[in-house]
Amino acid sequence: MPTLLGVFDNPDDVAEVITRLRARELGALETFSPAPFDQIDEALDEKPSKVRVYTLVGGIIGVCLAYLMQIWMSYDWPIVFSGKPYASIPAYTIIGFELMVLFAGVLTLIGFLIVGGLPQFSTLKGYSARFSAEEFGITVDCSERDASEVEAVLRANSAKEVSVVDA
Amino acid sequence: MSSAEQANPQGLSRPLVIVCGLLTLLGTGAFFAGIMGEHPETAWRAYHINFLYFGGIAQGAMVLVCIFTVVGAKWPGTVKRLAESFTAWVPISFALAILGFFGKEHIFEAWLTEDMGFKAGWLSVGRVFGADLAIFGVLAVLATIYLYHSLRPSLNGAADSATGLAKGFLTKWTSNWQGDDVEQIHAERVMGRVAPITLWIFAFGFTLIGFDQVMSITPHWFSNLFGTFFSWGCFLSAIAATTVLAAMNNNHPQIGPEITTPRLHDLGKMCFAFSVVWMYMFWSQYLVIWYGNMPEETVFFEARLGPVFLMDADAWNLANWNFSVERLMETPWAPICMVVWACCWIIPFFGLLGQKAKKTPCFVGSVAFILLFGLWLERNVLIWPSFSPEDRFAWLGFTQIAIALGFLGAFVLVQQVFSKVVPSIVVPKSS
Repeated sequence: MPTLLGVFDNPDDVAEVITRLRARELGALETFSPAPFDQIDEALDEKPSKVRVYTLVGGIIGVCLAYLMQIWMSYDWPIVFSGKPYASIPAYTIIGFELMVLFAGVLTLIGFLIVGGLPQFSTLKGYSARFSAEEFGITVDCSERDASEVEAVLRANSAKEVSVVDA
Repeated sequence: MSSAEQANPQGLSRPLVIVCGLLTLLGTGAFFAGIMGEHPETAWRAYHINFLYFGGIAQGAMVLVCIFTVVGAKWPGTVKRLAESFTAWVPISFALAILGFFGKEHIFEAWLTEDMGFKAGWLSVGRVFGADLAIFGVLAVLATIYLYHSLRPSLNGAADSATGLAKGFLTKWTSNWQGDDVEQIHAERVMGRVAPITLWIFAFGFTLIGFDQVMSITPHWFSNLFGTFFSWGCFLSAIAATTVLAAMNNNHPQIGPEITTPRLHDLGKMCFAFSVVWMYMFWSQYLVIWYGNMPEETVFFEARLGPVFLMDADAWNLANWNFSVERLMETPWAPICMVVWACCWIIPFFGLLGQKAKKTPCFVGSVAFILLFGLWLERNVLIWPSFSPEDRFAWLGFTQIAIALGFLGAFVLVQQVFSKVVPSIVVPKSS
């Protein structure tokens, strides 16, 4: 299964190529861009990242843990404050909020690493340093049969160069 | 660089003007009938609440516009102009503040008649009205300077197509025209200076107005956070009002295309986030008062939320949960406070949590409208229970509602004249 790489100068061309290749279902795409571009994001139209599930779970764990910890501590070393019961919700809300943010933040970082497959010691197929400078790249994993068609689409949308990175 | 925007006079919608005019007449009539009748205090109190509410929207809108200027925001585009259209009320609000002075015996009865001890110097007619009228006056002058310079660069040539009163007004407004580029640069320089000054004076001034005009009605109670809570309500109501206006103009031929989905999304985000801050402010003050449980502090909350939120030890006890809704409902004002929470926080929070909700004009507009109503009710709840702790319907009566509708009519009328006739809302030039 060959992998083709197209190199571009303009994000609009990249967006156009993505839309066309997607429409014809010619193979899996990987896009390299030096910076985020709205038109590319729109063309990729990716599903929302799973990282947000980690954030939600982290937040819920944090807030529950905070209340449990404080209430346990209050009963373990009972001191009456202002005549309030040991397990009063309002008194523990601030720490509940803080731990919610902390756990949500830490789990977001963990989720980011897991979902993004990081740390990654080898670069992706087709990547080169210039895609972190000023050029754009698209790699397409396509079948032997479709290779010429993919190449035609890349060239038709002002690809500066098209090469086979993995035959 | 020449002005990229131009005036867009449209003429008023006749039915709307008639309705607003009638409401204004109704309100004015009810107010004068009220102050000459048996219960002048009812009319004055309703006047005071609505003066603060609508003055708060106008000044809050000015603050929003100034923030856009100070941070150099590019995203709002015409949304900034929509917010500006509320600010024509700021000078009127100064005039209304002067009128309010004559009702002081009915509004500030408590500190005018009681012996205030060490607070006597602070809560005196000279100090309170001297400071507050100066704040309203300075803010009115700043708003006028700002609006003049904000709109002038876009008004060149508008006088030629205008007729009648608008023509004279626009001619005057664009006199001594120095050329598009010079005007634009000059206007931006003036706005860049006026905006931060307005923000500082709002932050300090409206905090003081919150203390003087609202908190002093319960003169022995004090809360350092109250002024911030009050001025935050003004700012939030302005954002909600701008969102409602944006959603309503979504299909407008000239303004509609400017109310893009990302802009609506941003307005929705602001309503969402800032309503959370509103609740946060309340909570910050409630928490310490609940914990301290000192009578001189709890008195204000007790009149509104009742003992369930304060002295009832087990109301929040996870180990022995005993939150009595029945007991809550026994407090006359508690149900109304619950409606305020629902309108100002619960509905905006859960309603605007999703992305799609914020991008749907009718939905985000409706939620913002609920928020706006909630904040009006909040102003009532801040003031009425201090006068009538036992009567939960003190805010609801012919005089009170007629005065509120009168204010609404006048406010909408001013907004309409300002945004449709002189100088009219400006939209980007069609190329």
